[in-house]
Amino acid sequence: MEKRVYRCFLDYEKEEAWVNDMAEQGWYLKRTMVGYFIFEKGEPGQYIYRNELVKGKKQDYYDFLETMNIEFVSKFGVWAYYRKKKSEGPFELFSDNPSKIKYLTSISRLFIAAILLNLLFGFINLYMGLGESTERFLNIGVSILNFVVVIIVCMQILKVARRKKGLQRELHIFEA
Amino acid sequence: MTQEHPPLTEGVYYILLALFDARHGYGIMQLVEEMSNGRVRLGAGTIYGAIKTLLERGWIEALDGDGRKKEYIITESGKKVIGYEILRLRELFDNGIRITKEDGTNG
Repeated sequence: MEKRVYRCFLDYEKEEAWVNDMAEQGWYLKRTMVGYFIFEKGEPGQYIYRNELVKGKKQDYYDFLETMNIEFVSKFGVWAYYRKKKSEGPFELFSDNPSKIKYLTSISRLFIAAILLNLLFGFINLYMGLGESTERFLNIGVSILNFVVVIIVCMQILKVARRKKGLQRELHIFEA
Repeated sequence: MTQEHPPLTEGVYYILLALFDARHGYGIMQLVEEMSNGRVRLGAGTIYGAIKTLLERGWIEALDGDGRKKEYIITESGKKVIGYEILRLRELFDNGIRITKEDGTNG
């Protein structure tokens, strides 16, 4: 049995938590695209899921994960999902603060790129919308959409920055 | 004792120790968990990142073999680093025991 769900998450951690909630109920993620999830029915509570930003990751990384009994589930763009049998104990991709901080930094970079891109297109569309464009309302509409995205991603960046700062403060007194 | 690098993280210290015999990622994870009685559970992403950095530094090397389950082993310079680290840990340990004994907090 399959279940298809449309659901949009602004926060990648909340999305991961929701996917794990579904797994607890026996719905196992099979494929994902932005805002679209395909689940498969199974015995509840068998797997733990993790998502990861995998920009620049090569095949040898997935091979490595596979040797650690981590199953690759789905990848869309730069986001991947993995799962591991719950019976094998806790499953975290990163176990110490330096590697967690490094990961959060790469997420911030992606968010900043998204902001710059949306700002650029936002201003281009605004400029066209205020000018002689034949599609003035469409241009203005799209530019408003671009600016809304900028605000949402800014909020996510602040959240990531706060978490990173907390981890960095711990590094002042703890080795890892 | 002179040391040309900052203290190792617990994870890197244990990964280097685990590689005194050739091991792949999963073998490292299992041995470290075993040595620390389940206290240190290294994440796959953390081990992968550490292996990349240790290869770059020349503290470990990859053994030829089938690509999927690549095995790694510590190098001479890696062993030197571990030697320094053990001396540092001994200094920490000795001073800790000496001062807490004088104080009576450690029995």
